[in-house]
Amino acid sequence: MKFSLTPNQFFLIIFLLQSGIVFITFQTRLLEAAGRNAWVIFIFTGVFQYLLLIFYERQHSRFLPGPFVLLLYKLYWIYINVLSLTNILYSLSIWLYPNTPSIVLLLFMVTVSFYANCCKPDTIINLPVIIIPAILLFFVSLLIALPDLEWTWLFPLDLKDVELVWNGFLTSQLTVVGVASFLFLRKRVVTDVKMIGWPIAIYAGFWFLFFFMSLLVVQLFFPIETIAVVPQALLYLLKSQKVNFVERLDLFFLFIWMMWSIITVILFAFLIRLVHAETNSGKQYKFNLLIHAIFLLVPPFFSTRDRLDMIREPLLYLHLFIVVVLPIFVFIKNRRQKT
Amino acid sequence: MRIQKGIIIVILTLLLSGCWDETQYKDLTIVPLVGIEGEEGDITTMFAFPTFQNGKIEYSSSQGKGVSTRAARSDANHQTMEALDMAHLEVILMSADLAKTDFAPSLDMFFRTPRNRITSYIAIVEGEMGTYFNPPGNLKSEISYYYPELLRTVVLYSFGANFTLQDAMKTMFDPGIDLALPYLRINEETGIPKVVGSGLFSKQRYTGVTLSSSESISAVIMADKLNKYARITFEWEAKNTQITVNVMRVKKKWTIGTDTITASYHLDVAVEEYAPHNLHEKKNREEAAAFLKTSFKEHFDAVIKKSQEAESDILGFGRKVRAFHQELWNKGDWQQTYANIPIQVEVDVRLKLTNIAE
Amino acid sequence: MKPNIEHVKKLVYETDDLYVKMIDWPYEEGIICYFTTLVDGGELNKQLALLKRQAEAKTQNWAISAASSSYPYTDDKLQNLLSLGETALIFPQANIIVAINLKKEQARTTDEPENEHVITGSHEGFIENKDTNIALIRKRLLRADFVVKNIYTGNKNSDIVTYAYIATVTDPQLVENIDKKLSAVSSDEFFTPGQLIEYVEEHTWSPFPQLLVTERPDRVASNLLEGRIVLLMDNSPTAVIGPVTLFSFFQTPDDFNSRTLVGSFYRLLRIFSLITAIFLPAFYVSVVSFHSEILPIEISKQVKLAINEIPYRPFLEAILLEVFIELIREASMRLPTPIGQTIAIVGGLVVGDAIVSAGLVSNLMVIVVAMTAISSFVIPSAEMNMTIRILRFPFMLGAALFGFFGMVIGLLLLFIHLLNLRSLGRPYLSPVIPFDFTRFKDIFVRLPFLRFLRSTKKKGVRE
Repeated sequence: MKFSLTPNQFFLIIFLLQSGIVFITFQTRLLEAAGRNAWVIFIFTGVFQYLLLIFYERQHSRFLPGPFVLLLYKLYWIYINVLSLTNILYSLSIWLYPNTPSIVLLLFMVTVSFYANCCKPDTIINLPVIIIPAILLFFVSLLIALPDLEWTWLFPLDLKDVELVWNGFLTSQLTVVGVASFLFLRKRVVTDVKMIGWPIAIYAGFWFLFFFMSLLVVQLFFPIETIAVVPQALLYLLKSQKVNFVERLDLFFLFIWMMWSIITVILFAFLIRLVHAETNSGKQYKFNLLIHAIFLLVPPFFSTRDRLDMIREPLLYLHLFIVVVLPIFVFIKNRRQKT
Repeated sequence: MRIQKGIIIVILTLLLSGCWDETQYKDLTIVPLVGIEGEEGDITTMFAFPTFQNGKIEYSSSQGKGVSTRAARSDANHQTMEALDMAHLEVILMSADLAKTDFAPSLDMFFRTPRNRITSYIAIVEGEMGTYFNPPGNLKSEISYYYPELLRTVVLYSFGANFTLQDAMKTMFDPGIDLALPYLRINEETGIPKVVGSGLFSKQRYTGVTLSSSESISAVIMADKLNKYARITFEWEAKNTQITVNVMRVKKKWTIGTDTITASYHLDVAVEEYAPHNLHEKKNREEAAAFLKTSFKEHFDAVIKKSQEAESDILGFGRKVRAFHQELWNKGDWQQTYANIPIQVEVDVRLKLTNIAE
Repeated sequence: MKPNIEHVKKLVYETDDLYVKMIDWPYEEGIICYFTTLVDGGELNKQLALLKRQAEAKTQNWAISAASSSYPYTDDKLQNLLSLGETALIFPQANIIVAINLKKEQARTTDEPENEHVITGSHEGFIENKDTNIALIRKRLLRADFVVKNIYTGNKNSDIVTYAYIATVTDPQLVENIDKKLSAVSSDEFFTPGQLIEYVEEHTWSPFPQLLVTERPDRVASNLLEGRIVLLMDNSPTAVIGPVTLFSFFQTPDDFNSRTLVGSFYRLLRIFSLITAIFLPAFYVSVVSFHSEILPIEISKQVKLAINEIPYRPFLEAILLEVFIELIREASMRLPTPIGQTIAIVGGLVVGDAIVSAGLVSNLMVIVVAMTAISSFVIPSAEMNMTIRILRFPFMLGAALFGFFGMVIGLLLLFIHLLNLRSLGRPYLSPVIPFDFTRFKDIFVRLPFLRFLRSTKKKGVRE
């Protein structure tokens, strides 16, 4: 596949891959895992993410994975896509569509993804642009909640409890999930761009601001004792906002989030195809059909509470392996081969 | 061609099989008012709602019994023409007796069903719920209009604050603060339901203690949750007159020591009614300010005293204590600690405007 | 074989409007022939006198004058010249044809086009004569780099398509591309710009117009200055402009004639009307049949009162009214103006009122559909507003099936489709995707013209 990315497109895609699936649920999970420490822990995650990006940028030219590693990545992304589709289905069936068979809803979402993946790469890499207004809208509506925030809930902190902190850190890794795509897309960026310095700092800053703000708003809006009973805290927060023209802001955001997630699914599917095309020639259409068949058939199986948890839990550990261990392994291997 | 046929077949199937989660608005009854009474395990819910027929709106109500709110609602559903829909719920009335028990699970259905509205007001009523749905006096309006408007006025005039379902749930489950809900009683002379003050909660139960309406305003001022108007009238016995002021702005500062709390307030007020109309002289203004200072302090002290008696930290000192004064917080149960800790109130009043033209 | 009068008659199948006679000429006898319906006889006499004088003077190129030229004789050439409306002077001895181009023009005046009225600004419009049309454009572009190229398409080589551009501004590759596409056209006859467009555009099945159609010379001129190419056909007042973007369809010359703030306001209004025209009925349908909880408290009772006793599903209601409005539009469009207006009044007011009081459709639905219809008519381009009107049906279907979910799926598909579209090889959503800030601003607001010029200078060509 032939295409090239401008730095803006590149970062927008990475941002979507990182945020699409988790941005509406991670606050609750993080607060459950880390309590009031969540916001401090998230600052650590922000630093971690920044260092990771710099590390990737320095080493990306050495990232030449073999077929087996590529297969791992492909499987990992298929897993993420299945997970996020399951997540969407589950949320939709809780909030609005309890009776509609999930396969029907899924059919439409997967069709969109399939259609997009049949188009030229140019179309797909430009797709995230539709989300930009949504990001702004999202920020603004978080600001509506500002007067209701209770600032004393930032404290007390309990950072001595190492297990709590570690759990929190692991959970906050949810927000870094899509970052491995950096390594695959980096070489597509029009050359002569210097990434270290402002570009990465701005990106990491924006990413941090986005997640940190949503985390902070949720933490200061709900007492820690009620977090457990409001699973999608962000939606509840929007639900409790009174605006004149419409009663339920949360529904709009549910759908904005859904659109966001579908585009993320499209981008992940695109990544899978991209990696596949690097090693295999021909029959791209059939492969496209195959992965979308997986997306269509697997998620309905998991869209019950137990099974969702079952596939959601391994993500944290798998993620660290994919994002940190595997790239380091590849870098080292390539360095040895060179010398 | 095969693909096109396939698409047509899919669309036709969808149209024929219908839309699973369609809920036609015309088939729903929008319920603006709900009353809950009874006790956990034996709940009675009453619903008041408009019905729409022949282009006219009429009002009707229905009632259900069950082991939980949900069950009571289903029961009521069987006695109502169209399905009851809580998406536009404006007011939940709860009987004082129910409020004294562990009532949170009864509200859970309203709070956590995604379709339901969570910005509806919640208030406590004294006595039988039925009398509030069929008040003895002439309301000159329908109850499903009356209560929402009444409670909106409560908010607008700062008789109470933070009593939507959402706020109530949040406040109730936060150990650092307690809930105060508007308290309604049937006025014996007119037979019309009236907001007489606010009921104090301790943890998740109603204590039976209520603040009077002027105390409720004071409590709202003390929590700095003013809405548009916060009018309060004082009897100035020395001058044999009354003075009504509107509090415009509150600056509060809570100093929390190891075993004492000082709450100091700075109020900007506007005089709205004062018969002697001599406030254009500086001397009189100072005198009035001094009078207001002591009067406010009396009111504030009364609020603190009542809330301490009820073990109900309605102002939320606990939130600050929990965040920054762990040693005090960890002394034991916060509501007990609150009841026993001495709280000093300091008030400073500035006459900012005398809204009477001179 | 020497041509003679009989032969010439046979070549045109003995049609009666052929004038063919022997004519005296200084050296030999000639045959003069032309279609009396196409040629102005009086002018022809003057021209003949001029040519005769030149012939007597025995100059080398006596047959050449401002309106005449000579060709070697062939039957085909003769047929061709006659059918193009020229007068042929045949000299059998010398075996040449002298062609005199004196067409009698049947043309209406250059009135303002019916469907592109402006309030202030030029009121000229194209007519069915291509040369006049080009003259109208050239009049506005008094510069040497305005290029007009003719392409003869079809087997008979007589249907002429013309494309014009400004050489110093337009991307040469674009010109080459268009040239190639037009030259490849092998259709025998095509008459309408619609057919021409289908040859040139890339996505025939897309509902979106990929080329802008206009009858206004000022619009053409300003587009040419922005580096676009214009296609003209003889016998059609329609000019086709490309490459365009989605947003070009939302601008009118009026924007530049009005005050900056006013122009900007209306430009924003038009973009907003795009949103309501596509989504409003679908939104209404999904609200009343799926998501009634989003209705604000204050309005909920009125909505409920309005729809409570309507027998049909909102989707059917909407379809009924939409079809009704389309019928009124289609019926009144081709009728003479007074009758058309009557139809509109009867349809809009009388039946609209009756349909509500009969209880078939709720009055809210009437408001929604009327607002949608009006929004779609705000869009200045007739083609685009048809597209928009068609587009809302799939959205309504999606809304009726799944509420907002259906709408979001539709929106994503629409967006992907728009991203796929190209107009003459240029991205259809151009200033937004790929993003270009200077031009991006221009979509939503109408910047002061002076500022505009400066940015043009800085950024080079605007498309």
